[in-house]
Amino acid sequence: MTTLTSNGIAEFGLRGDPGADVLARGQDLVARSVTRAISGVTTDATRRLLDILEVKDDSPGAYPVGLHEYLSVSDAALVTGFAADSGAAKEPFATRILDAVVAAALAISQYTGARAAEVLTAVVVGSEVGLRLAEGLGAEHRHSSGWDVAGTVGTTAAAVAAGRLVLSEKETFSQALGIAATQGAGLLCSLNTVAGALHVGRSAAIGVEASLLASNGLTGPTTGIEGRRGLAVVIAPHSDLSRAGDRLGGSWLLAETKFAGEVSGNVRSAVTRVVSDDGDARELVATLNAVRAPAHTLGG
Amino acid sequence: MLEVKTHSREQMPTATLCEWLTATHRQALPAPVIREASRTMLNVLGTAIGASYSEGVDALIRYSEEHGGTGTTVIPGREEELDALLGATTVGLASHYDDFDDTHLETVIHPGAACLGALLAVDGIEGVDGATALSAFALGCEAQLRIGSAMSPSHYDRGWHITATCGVLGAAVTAGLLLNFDSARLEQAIGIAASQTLGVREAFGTMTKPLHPGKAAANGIFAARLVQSGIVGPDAVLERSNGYFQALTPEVDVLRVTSGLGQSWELLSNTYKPYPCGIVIHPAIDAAVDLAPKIEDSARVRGITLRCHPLVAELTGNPAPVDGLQARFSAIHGVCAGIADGSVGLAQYQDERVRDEHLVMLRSLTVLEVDGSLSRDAAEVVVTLDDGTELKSYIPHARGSAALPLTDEELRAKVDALVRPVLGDRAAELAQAVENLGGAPSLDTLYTAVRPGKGV
Repeated sequence: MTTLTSNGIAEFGLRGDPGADVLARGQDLVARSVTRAISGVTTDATRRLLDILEVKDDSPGAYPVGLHEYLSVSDAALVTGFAADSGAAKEPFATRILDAVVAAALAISQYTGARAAEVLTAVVVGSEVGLRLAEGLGAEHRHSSGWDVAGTVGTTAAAVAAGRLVLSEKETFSQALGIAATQGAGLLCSLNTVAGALHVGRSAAIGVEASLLASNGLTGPTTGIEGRRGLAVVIAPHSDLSRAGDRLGGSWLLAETKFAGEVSGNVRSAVTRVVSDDGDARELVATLNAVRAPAHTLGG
Repeated sequence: MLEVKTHSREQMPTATLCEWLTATHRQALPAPVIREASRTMLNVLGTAIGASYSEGVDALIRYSEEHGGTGTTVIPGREEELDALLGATTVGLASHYDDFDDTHLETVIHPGAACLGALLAVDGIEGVDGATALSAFALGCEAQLRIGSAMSPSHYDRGWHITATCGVLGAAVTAGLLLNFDSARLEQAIGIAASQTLGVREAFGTMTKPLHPGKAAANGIFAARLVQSGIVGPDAVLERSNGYFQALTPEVDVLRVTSGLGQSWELLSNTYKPYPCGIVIHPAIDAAVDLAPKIEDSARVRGITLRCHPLVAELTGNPAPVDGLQARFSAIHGVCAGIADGSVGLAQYQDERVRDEHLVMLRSLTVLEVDGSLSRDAAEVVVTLDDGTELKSYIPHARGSAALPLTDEELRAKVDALVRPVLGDRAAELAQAVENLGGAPSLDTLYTAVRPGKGV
C-alpha cells in the first residue's frame, strides 16, 4: 500500500511519464472538455463573469478557450473552467475535475509557451491525481458530505497540471500543492445555481495561481493534503489515502474512468492537427478559438 | 452527517442576519461598538504596515507585477497599488502575517484582516464616507464572529482555520454593505462567498496561513461583484441542506448567529495581542518576561518548565522552530526569548534570532507540561539556575486577554512600534485618521495616513 502524499504527487507531477496510449486518451479528453467550454462561453452567465474581470493588454496573460478577451493567466483558467461547467446539467465529478485541469493547463501553457504534447502530459498527470484523491477522500465525501468534489479536489488536480508546466523543484511543487489544497472548497447546494460553475472555474484558477505563487517564493505546507490538519482529514474525516498512491505512474485510473460528454468533430480535428504538428499552446488555443469564431484574429 | 434543524424565523440565520446587518448599517452604531471597531482597525492597520516589507508581501507584489495585477488599491506601507482582488489578498496577508492582529478569544478568529482587505480593496465606493466605511467594517467583523461562535469549538478543532472560513463571509458583508446592497443581495453575496471558503490548519507555520485571510478578503469582494453582475447563488446558505454548516462543522448552535442581535456584540470581545505569535502562548511569555529581570545571565539556566493549558501544546507545541514563522507556533521559543531578551516583539521572531545558538540551547532545556486545570489565558513558568535556585512566575490572566485588555495607550504604543520602521514618526497621524474616520467625508485621509510619504 502506498499513501498518496504531497511529496509523492510532486514527484509524479514533475516526472510522471504517461505512455502513448494514456496520452491518446488525454488528447480525447482535452477535446471533450474544450467542446464543453466552447459551448459554455456563449452563455449569459459566462458573459456576466467576463464583465467583472479586467482585460490585461499590457502584461503576460492568456485567452480563455473560445474567447478573444486577453486576461490574466488565472482569470483565463477561471473563465474556461466556468464555461465548461456552465451547462444546465452537471456532469459526473470526474468529468468536472478534468475540466478544471484542462482549463488550468490551457491557460498556464499559453504563458509558458509549452508544446501541445506537454499540455497533454500535464492534463493527464493532473487528472490522474484528481481521480485518485477523490477516491481516497471516500464515498461519503463524494456523495453525502455537502461538498462538491470538483471544488475540493479540483484545486489540487489543477495545481498538478499547472505545476507540471511551470515548476521544476519538488519542494516548491509540494508547497504549490499545499497552497492549492488549503483552498479546496465548493458547497453542494451551489450546484443548483449559476454560481455552481464557479467551483470548476475557481479550481482551475487556484491551481494556476498556487503554482505561480510558489514559484514567486510564497511558502506553503509540504504536507497540505495528507498532514494531520491537511485537506483530506479536515474536509473528509473518513478519508483513507493509504492506497491512493498505489502504482502511481505505473497504472492509470484515468484509463479506466468513464468521462461524460460529446466531442465536436471540429475540435477533435483541431487538437489532433496541432499535436501532430508539434505546435505550442498558443497555437492550440488560437486554433480552437478559430473553430468557434473564425472571424476573430487571435494574438499571442 | 450534520443535520441543521430550523424551526422558526429565529432559526433562519442567513436571512435574519442579513436583514439585521442592512438595517443596522443604515443607522449610527452604538458608541462602544464604534470604539472597538476603531481599535480593531487601528491595530490591524498597524500590523499590515508592520509586515508591509515581509517576504510574503514581496512575493505577492512580485506576482501581481508579473501578472497584470497593478491597480488602485492602497497597500498600507507600500508605494505599489494593486488591482482589487490581488490588493485585497495582499492587505489581508499583511494584516495577519506576523500573527499580531486582533483576536476574538472564544472563536480564535482574527476578524480584522479579511474585513480590512475588503474595505481597502473593493472598487466602486468612491463616494463612501468614513462612518459608512467604519460601519461596514464593524458589521463584517460582527457577522463572521457570530457565525464562528455558532461553530465553535468543533469547527476549529476539526482543523479549519476559522479566520478564513468565516473571514470570507465577513469580507462579503463588508463589501456588500459598502456597495449598498439590500438584504436579499447581501444574502446572495454570502451564498456565493460561502462556496469560496478556505483554510486548513496544516498551513500554519508557512506564508499560506496569512494568505488565508487575504484570499478570504478577495473572495468576499469577488462574491459581491458577482452579485452585482447578476450571478445567482444559493440563499439560506448557512442552514440549508448541503450548505455551509453541514459541510464545515460537526456541531452547530444555529441560534448563536442571531441571538441578541443589536443587544450584544461579539466585536466588543475582540482583543489585541501584545506579542506577535499564537495567542495561547501569551500568558507563558508574560511569565517569562516577568522572570527575566531576576535572571542576570540566561547562560546560567539549567532547566525551564512551562505549565499550560492543553491547547498550548496542541497549537504551539513545536519545540524546535527553524524560522520566524514556525517560531510563532512555538510556546517554548516564546518563553525562551522572553527569558533571554526580557521582551518579546517582532525582533524575537526574526529568522536569525530564532536560529541563535543560545536560544536553541535554551529551547533544548525547556519542557512543556499540560495542565487541564489551567484556563487558556493562564500559565506558569519555572526556571532552574545552575546553583539550584528555582524562580517561578504564575500568570492568571494574560496581558491583552479579555480580563486584562490592552489600554488605548498600550495599543497606540504597539502600533507606533509597528509603524515606525516603515513610515517613520507617523503613528499618531494614523491613530488620528482612524479616530476621526466616523466624521470624515471620505477615506482620503485614511489612505494618506497609511501611504509612504510626508503625510498630513
